[in-house]
Amino acid sequence: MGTGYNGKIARINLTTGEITTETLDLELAKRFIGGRGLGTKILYDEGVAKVGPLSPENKLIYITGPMTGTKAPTAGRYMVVTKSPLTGMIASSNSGGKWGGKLKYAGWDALIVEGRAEKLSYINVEDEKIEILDAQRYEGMMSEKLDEELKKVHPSCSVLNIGPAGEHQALLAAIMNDKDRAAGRSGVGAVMGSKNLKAITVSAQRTVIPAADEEALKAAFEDCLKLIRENGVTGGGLPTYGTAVLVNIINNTGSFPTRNWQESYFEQADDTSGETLKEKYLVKNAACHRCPIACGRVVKVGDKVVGGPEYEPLWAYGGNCGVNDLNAIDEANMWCNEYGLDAISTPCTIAAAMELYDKGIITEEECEGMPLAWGSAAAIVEWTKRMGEGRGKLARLMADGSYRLCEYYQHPEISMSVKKQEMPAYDARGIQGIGITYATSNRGGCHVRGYMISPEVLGLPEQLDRTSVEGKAKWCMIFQDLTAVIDSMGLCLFSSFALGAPNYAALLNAGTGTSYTPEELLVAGERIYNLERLFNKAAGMRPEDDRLPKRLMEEPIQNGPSKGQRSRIDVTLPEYYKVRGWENAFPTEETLKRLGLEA
Amino acid sequence: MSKFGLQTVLSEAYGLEGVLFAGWLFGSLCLHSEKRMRGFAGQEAGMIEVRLFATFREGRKKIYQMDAEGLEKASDVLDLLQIPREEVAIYLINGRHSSVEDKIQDGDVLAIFPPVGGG
Ligand code: SF4
Repeated sequence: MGTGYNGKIARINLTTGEITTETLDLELAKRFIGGRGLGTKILYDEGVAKVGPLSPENKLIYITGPMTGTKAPTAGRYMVVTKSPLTGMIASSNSGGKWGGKLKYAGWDALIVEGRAEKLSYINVEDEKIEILDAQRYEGMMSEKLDEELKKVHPSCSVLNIGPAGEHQALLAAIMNDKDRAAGRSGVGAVMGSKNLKAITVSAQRTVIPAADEEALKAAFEDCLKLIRENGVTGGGLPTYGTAVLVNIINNTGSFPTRNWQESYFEQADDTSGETLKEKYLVKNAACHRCPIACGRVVKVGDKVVGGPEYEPLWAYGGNCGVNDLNAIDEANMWCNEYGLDAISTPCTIAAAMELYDKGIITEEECEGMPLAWGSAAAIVEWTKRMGEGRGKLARLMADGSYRLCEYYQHPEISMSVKKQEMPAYDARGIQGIGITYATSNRGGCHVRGYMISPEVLGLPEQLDRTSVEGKAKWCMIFQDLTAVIDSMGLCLFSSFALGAPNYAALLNAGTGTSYTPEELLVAGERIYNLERLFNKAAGMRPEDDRLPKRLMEEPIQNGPSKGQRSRIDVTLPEYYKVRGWENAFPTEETLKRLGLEA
Repeated sequence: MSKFGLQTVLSEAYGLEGVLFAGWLFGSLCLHSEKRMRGFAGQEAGMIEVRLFATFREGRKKIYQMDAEGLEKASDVLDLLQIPREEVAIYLINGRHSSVEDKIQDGDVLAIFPPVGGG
């Protein structure tokens, strides 16, 4: 009988070359579930909150959940948990593909990477065996090429790597795996670069993870699969159009930030929509490990067949830069994957630079032959490449994100970021609840920490009025806590369009032998969310870091169906702290006690 | 400037007849622009715009300009386009979530979606 966990963690010190095997504390694992929750617990307990994010003292945790690699639907996810060099706070970046499942099959729940290698290196995991190998011949290599090269050396492996952006420690650098899947956010690729670690290859013989109760897991799996297949979103919308289908709906609610959030309705949005992508560029769908949804897109860029853009880059390179050339967006997105850049923050930083240029703050001369003009398809492609290569002063500045860029030009108000990380594709003036998610996300500007778009726009599980503030704080908290559970289990957040807390509890209990009720599972999620907050507090977070950019409160939406609306975060934030049991942005003693997190 | 303010200014300049004419003209302009303001698409008066998305585009057009006359509710539009009601997941009138039984008026922009999601 299994437990869903392997019971084993590898600690790899790149400074000394020492590799040790540690036994997983099963009780602790069950309490913090795994993935995002357990990773945060380890990082917090080991005092990483106070270290320099790009110093050898920072730790990089690659961690799976108890569901990763099991038969549960969408069970292919892993998390990268570390201290972010972009935000200075917790980073936990999630990715799909095959790599996470492989790591689990190889017999490991997590790899904890410490120190800094003297020379560019990579880690090779083959079941039990772990070795640190020389990677100097791969220096400067693009992500996809490196994937192919490493497969020549380790034929059946799955590859995780950084591109040139991670090597030069750009703060927007992502970690890529299986070519086009990304642990994209918060600069986790820069941390990998700072450790001189170019890649991790994983091969495994085994293909099963023993569960605590195989029969119960099979039954829970079948229930979930049925729900996923019957659900209009996971069984229809996502497989047919991918996440890109959101372009038109968000634009039609007038909440599609345009030209760096100066407007919120993009006349040409349909040119960049999921519908147009399908009609003109789609080659086929792609799926992560054991996923029945298959929302991934494979598209044609010139004569190359590559991973296609998600909704976020379609928006960020599209409407947010005023660009309606879908081919150019596909190409720019491809360069993000090749150089290993965050495909949300990179285009959002280009959008901020375009506003700076438009206002005459960035000069023609600084653009070195490629003006940062609104709507320029050539500019989004060229500046992505420059940022990836770190070519030129302005591009290097931009590769560290819009916050640092706009600070440099003394116009911090132009950076549309929270905790120095760029906000994604939904205007919090037109959709009130998502503003709470943005403001309070522990990893900075982010939509997937509490996807309020689901009830506020998509009507799942029920339709809320997007313009109202009523009850949104509580909704947001529940979404945040449930998401923490899903991320910790090793499942994909998209499963939650069809599944609810009772389904997740059934899967987890069958897999690990726990006996969580749905309510207790939400409390486990709450515990994780509060622990991340404690990490941030130890890292120096201040209450005023839970803020939205001024533009959202002070400049009403200029055009489209949400014209005139502003964010009411002044009302929702105090309410949110109240429902969370927080004071001044941090949990009270009483809350910590209730969650068993007291010092 | 309020309508009253404008009439006062005009009456000083053009006398009573002119004011009455200007008042009528201004009033109808206001009405007209109000109609246009309702929808954000700026279509012609007396018309509604129906936008279809995702699978609803299969075998249909992306956008229909329809004469508003005789169309009371969204369900009338769905019937006209032969879209089964149960297939509609999201239905917006001028960007606001609405029910297919809600009244529509000229100038409205309707956006109709099957179940969709993403992140
Ligand atoms: S829904 Fe999409 S992102 Fe999630 S696991 Fe499936 S293919 Fe991957």
